[in-house]
Amino acid sequence: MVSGRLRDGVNTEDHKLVFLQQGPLLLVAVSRTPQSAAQLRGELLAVHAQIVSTLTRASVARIFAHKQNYDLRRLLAGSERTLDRLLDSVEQDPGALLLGAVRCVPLARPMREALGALLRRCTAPGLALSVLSVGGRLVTAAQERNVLAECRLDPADLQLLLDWVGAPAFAAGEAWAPVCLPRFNPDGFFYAYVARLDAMPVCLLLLGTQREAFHAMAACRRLVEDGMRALGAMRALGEAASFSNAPSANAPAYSVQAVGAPGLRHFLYKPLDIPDHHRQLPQFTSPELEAPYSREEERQRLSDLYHRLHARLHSTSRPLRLIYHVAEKETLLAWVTSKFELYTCLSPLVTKAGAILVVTKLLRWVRKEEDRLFIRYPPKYSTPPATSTDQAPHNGLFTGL
Amino acid sequence: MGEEDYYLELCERPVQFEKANPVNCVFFDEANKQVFAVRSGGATGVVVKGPEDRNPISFRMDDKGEVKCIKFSLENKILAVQRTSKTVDFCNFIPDNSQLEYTQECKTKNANILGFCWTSSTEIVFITDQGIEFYQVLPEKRTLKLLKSHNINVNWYMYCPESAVILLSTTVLENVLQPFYFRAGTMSKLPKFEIELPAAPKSTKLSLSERDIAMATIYGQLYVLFLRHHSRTSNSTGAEVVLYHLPREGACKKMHILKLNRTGKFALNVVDNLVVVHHQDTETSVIFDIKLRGEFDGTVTFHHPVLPARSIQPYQIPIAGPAAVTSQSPVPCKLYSSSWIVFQPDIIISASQVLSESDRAALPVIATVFDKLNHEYKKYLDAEQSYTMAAEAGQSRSNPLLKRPVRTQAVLDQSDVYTHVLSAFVEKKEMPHKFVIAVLMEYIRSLNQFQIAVQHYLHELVIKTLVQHNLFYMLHQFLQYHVLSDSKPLACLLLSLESFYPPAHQLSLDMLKRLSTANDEIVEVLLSKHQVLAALRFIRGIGGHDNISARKFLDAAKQTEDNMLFYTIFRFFEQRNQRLRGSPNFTPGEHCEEHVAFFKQVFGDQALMRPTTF
Repeated sequence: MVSGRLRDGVNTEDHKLVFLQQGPLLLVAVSRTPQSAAQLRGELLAVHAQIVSTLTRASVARIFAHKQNYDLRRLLAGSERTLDRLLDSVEQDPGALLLGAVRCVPLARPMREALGALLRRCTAPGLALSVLSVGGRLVTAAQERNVLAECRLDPADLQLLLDWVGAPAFAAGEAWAPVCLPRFNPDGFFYAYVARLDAMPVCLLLLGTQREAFHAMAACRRLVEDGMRALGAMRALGEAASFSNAPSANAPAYSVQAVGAPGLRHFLYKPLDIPDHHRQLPQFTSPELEAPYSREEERQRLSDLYHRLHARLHSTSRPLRLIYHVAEKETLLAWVTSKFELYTCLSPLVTKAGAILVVTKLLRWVRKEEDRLFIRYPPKYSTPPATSTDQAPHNGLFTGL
Repeated sequence: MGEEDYYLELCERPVQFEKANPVNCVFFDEANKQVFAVRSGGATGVVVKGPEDRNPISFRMDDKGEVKCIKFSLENKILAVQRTSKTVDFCNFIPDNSQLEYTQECKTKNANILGFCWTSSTEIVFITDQGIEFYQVLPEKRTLKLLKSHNINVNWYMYCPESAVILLSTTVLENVLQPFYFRAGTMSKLPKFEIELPAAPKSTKLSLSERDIAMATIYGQLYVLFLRHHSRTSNSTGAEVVLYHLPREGACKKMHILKLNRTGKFALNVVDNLVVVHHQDTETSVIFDIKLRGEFDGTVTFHHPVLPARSIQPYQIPIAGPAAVTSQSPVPCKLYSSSWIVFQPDIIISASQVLSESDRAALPVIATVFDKLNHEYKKYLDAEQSYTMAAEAGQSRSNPLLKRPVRTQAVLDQSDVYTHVLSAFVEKKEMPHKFVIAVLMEYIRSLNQFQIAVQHYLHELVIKTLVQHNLFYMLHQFLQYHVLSDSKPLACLLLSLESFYPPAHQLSLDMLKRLSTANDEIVEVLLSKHQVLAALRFIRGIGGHDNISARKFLDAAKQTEDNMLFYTIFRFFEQRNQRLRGSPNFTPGEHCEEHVAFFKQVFGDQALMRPTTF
């Protein structure tokens, strides 16, 4: 058991150790990076969530109740790479975990709404959630109101799904696998239909409650594909990839140069002024990491800097609203208001006046591109199809393996 | 008489000791400059004081007879006491203070020891009337080992500790001097030489008296000084001091004669390479400098006193007594008394005092000389200036009387003084460095007093001298308090001193900043230290960033081998290009193609800035 005193972690000369107890599992993080104990605990939670999503919490508890020294790795075979990718993303692309938000593919609003409507129309029995994603980033999602109405879809769960479908197992064709949404319900699981559309990196994920619904899901998928072709969505998504000058079309993103603010190198922006009843999908946006952060060491260094800024802003004892830090390699500006949380990385030669100008320009640009960058109003299903009404009381969830 | 009327003064801290009496014997060791006060043969105590010692050394020794001579070896390691004419007793002091004495008898039978000298902490020379014996003392074994000896009849001897030379007076007339040189545990015999005695009437027997000989180091060379009371040539009156130069190798040669132009009782001292001759009758002293030009007659140079004779400044001896009588006023020291005994080079022992002439004797003299020089110089400068102004105002044509001022021989400008005097002076190795600095500062002070602008090379000389002698704290203070004026050459000199004294770099930058015309230099300095960002921020701070060469900064950034820095600098200039010309590209005239290629190679083509269209 982790005693209260160890909760804040242990600091040695160059390492930090953080402990997390979840049920019978004890997770330990050993880190040499400047992340705070709270941030490390967040990562441990994500790792635990990953394990739970594969096994469900209830079954983990049951296993260890039967056998105290059971080697869980036997059941986790295959998810190591997902765990690795999860931890890598902390260094390479820290936004999601740090901000607790999801990044969307920049897409024109009309197209996104059309796709959302399409998803809503293409249903199957027991379908609870449809997600369309490209390169681990969300295009749009639709959720079944009855299933998920009382409990919001946690962005961490959504991010988990987005990462999960990025696994090599789902790289081509279609697959059918159980998955648990830890924050939604850690003891139950859904059945997931995952398919790559049209040989593109576009991925369709359909989560349902019925074990036998594979063919229904496949049929649903074909409907979606036809609909997307009719909309010309493939082309639009392809263009989204070229909206940036990213070398790989797998991760559609935009370049920071699009902002047109000289001196700005990178930023993370998370809007906070979402109307409450639409708050179920916190999102953030950030451009492609490009030169001079093209090398892994520089990316890691930048990620460490963002972690440090975040920890400082959200420090429990002395939180800050604005940090402006001029250093040898870059100038950093972090700012949290009631409307947004912003982290910017600027050239070290920028002056204070220049920095203010850059941030102003950035905010104006984000405002202008809002519809493209974010899903402002996540769509919901309308009245669920008649076939699934009798399943509503069950909530369609199984417990236990 | 006011203070300016004295050239010489005695040093401030005399060594005081009890007067000699039947119970208390006093001995002076000129090698270590220590005074020994021996009470009751040592039984009731021996007190040793030196001019540098803060605390006197006290100890007791057994009374084994009357002490004839007592001396410590170098660093006070071993004490030697001569009580008989045939033996010398030794006692270890450092490191073990066992109080056990051991004795050494002189090797030559029937010889009498005239005296002994320590040449190192464990080497000692016995001078007897029949020769000279060189021993090594082995303190742990409590014995002595004879290293070398030489048989010769000796009348008297003289020891110069500075140059480690012992002079033996030999022959009946006592004027053939045999020098021996001691170095690194060896004794070498130097060529002997003869002192020319003055012509004497037949009735009197003239021989060389020990009192008329002195040995001293002047300008790094060893001289034997002979005080000759009557000149060789009959038509000149007055006594003279004859200087014989004793080189390490080669024969001794008579080189200088100092003319005293008076007779009577004299005493000699050498202070700061100046020969000071005290004349008892007039109670004055004269100073000679053998470096000054004298009259050369082919073999010998004749010198006259540098300045007129003056007395040594009267000196008050503070009385150290019990607290109750501190109100007693200090007692004036009797100068030029017949009870004076002079030791070389600069020690005078009065019956109850040991005094040392200060080596700062010469500074006020030098200061006066500078003032006189600069007075003339200033007159000339002013005359020049008014002539120039008048000429410019066109008056020269109308006023034929206005002539260009003539520069007389008396005018010495800074360049003259620097070239012919100060540069050479600073090079003198035997000069105590604080004195050198003091002289330089005196000259600068004098220039300031006459409101003559000090040339930067004088400041440079001061700085170089300070650095040479590691007087960095002084340098720092001089700069901090603006004793040395700011100038670009000075700032560059400071930069070059960085390897000796790292703070010099910042001192230099501060100076350049104060000189508001030095912005280019500041940028150069920063770039040379690979502080490219600092240089760029600085130049931007003064609004010059649009004019700087992109190539220069990119070169400097590339040299640091820091890609992030190169990216920043490159992007900065791309943005400048955009701002000035509407396109981020460099013009061919900027010669940055190489850097563009490097940028593309490291960061990729797509990292180049795209022209922003507004």
